[in-house]
Amino acid sequence: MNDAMLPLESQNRFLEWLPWYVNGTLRDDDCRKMDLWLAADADCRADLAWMQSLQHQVRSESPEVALVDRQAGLDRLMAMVRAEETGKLTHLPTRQSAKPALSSGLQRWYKPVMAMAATLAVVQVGILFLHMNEFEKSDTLRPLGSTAPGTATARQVMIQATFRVGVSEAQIQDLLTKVGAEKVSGPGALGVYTLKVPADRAEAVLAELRRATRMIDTATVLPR
Amino acid sequence: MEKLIKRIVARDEEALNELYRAMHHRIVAFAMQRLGDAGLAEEVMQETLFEVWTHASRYANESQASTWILGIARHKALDKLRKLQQGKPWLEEMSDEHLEIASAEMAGVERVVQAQRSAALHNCIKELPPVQRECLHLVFYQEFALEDIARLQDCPHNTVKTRLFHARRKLRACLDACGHGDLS
Repeated sequence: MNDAMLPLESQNRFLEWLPWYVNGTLRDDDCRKMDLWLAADADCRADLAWMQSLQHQVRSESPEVALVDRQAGLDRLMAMVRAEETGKLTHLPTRQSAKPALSSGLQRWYKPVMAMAATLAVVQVGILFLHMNEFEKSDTLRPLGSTAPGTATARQVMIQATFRVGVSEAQIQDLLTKVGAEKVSGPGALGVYTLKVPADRAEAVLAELRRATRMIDTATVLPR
Repeated sequence: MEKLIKRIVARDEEALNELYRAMHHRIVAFAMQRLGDAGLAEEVMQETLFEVWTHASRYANESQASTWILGIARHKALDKLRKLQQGKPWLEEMSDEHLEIASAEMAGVERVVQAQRSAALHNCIKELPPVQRECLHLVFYQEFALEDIARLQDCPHNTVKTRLFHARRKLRACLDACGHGDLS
């Protein structure tokens, strides 16, 4: 090939367009100019080779991305969708676009259902308010809807668990759901999570966490 | 993908499933280059696709659907970053650890060399300012056109070109310094 140095302006344009030439989104007429410059200049070809290698490396999947559990993520997304759909009735009046989609059968029931939903919402707010007041008075951690403080089921035990490096947040969440523990805080700088579990299940949960040796280094009950 | 968005507007769950399969890794990889943590990147992916599900009607067809979706992911990632910006060095360290583990597990000299080259490149990319790193990712991983990157980063075309020019120059210098300048 008979190489000749490109004029500076062409060189600059070449370097400017090169990334999009490599990723295949450059316009056809610009691509043709690039082809001509590449045929004429060895430096351009070296730049192209370097950038193609760069793209190859960038596209090679990073280990962290590969670790992400695709199916578990999809399950969680669909659970969010279901939860959103369950709560849809209470939101319908504010969504104009949803109204025309209601079937005639549903329209007949629409008003009574909405009235009931509104009543429920008021009751829920009242219950929440009462629980918030109780929570402020109590120094015991307790999930909403549990029995009054002082009873065995209302007590919570805090567990500190250290997860192994490489375990994804999704995997951790799955394990916590499986064993019935709830995350309070974490991860800390060393991958430490603080979890809470009902006192009457603490022993069983701790045993289950300790059995998950592929994910957890240590699990201990925190002193009260 | 635009057809999938239309089906999602009509509350077609199977379309959301298909979109998830098509975009899962792209969103996670995009969020990773901003956040450096797979767990957070996955959260961004889920929040993004949930927002697509709840607000699909906002897609205006002015850009490719993938540009619109990654635009949502970008906002989610930046939100998370703002909350995490209280100096958490483990966020940055984690990816190094993973790369070392991956390197150690690779068998054969060639694979080890490849792993070292890949680790060097990842480290050099991490050294870039976030907008330049994002630009590089959008060009080479997401294969976005110049116009789409400018739209997503909300800046003129020339700014994108300048960011990429500087990113490439810094990357070359960094790779040269650690003996992997030729990337081959």
